[in-house]
Amino acid sequence: MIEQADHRAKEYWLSDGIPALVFGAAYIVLFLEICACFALLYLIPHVGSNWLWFFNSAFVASPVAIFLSVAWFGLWQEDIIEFIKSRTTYPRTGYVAPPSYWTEKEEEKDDPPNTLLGAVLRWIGHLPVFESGLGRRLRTWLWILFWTWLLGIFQPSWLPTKLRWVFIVAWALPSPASFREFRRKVATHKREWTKGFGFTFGVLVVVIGFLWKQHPTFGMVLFLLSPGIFLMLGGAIELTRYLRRNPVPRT
Amino acid sequence: MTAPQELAALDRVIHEPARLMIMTLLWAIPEADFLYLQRETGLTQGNLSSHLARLEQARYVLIEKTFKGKYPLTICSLTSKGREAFQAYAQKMRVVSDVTSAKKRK
Repeated sequence: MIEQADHRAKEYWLSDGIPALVFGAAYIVLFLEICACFALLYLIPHVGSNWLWFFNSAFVASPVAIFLSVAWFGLWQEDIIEFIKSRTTYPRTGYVAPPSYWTEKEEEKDDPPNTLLGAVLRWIGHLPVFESGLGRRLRTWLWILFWTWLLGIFQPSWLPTKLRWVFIVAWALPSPASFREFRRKVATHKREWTKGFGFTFGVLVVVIGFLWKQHPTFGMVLFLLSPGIFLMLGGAIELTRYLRRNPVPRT
Repeated sequence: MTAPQELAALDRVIHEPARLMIMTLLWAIPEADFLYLQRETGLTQGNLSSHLARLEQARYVLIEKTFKGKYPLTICSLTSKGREAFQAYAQKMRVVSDVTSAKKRK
């Protein structure tokens, strides 16, 4: 029973879709920063000598800016998520300590041996269970990988031939099992329709990829951007559903 | 002390079902607010409030009133005394469970 309460509370942090939304947005911002960095590299030979100093220093500063923004997000991501949660989730379903606080407390509680073996044993103790936050996060990343691979197959113009075959095999092997699992879930849990939405989204992206096959750069940008879009889309759907299911309680 | 006598010495503050539910939840979670506990336990506001007050009185639960943004929170967590008491309670109940399972096997 304690384990169940533990899993439910861990799942609670991710259940409203806000972490997925924030991480998706952060991924897109980071990607745009990298794009801007490459754009500067492309522009430098085309600008006049008056502006060259500006573009050069911007290009030199851009990796530092990227590093700083990643570090800033790493340090403040939980606070950003909590800021949104305090206005959406907490008034509806209450507050549970965020994951960082959780880990500190768990370490206090378990007092694990500070050795490699201890770390491995601790990790085994936290193996992904269906209800746990870790399991959910793993599933999200597996889905992202799956769609990224799917896109990778249909964007062959910029992939080396050998790598393309690796993608195709890696995608084809688990696909019958995942499709069967998807059908089973849709049959038992109606709310799994979001996965269907994700599937449609993936197909749409592939179709767009086909249409723009003549423009490999566009295909690559779309391919690299897709995990962020997918995360944000999933998060937005999850949040909408969560808010509908949990109205603000009357006091 | 014999096993039945030990049972008589069970912590009555924790033994009450609603409070046992609250203690079990807070044992698993570092901290949670009143609304979360209410949803998880299914208790009414007044009921939960009175049980939490009883646990706070026994110094098993720490209750802090704070704000997250504009949203007021009543955060509850187990104190170290509460953890020890719950552990001792679980230990005693385990003895009972061991006795009953041994009897079943015979």
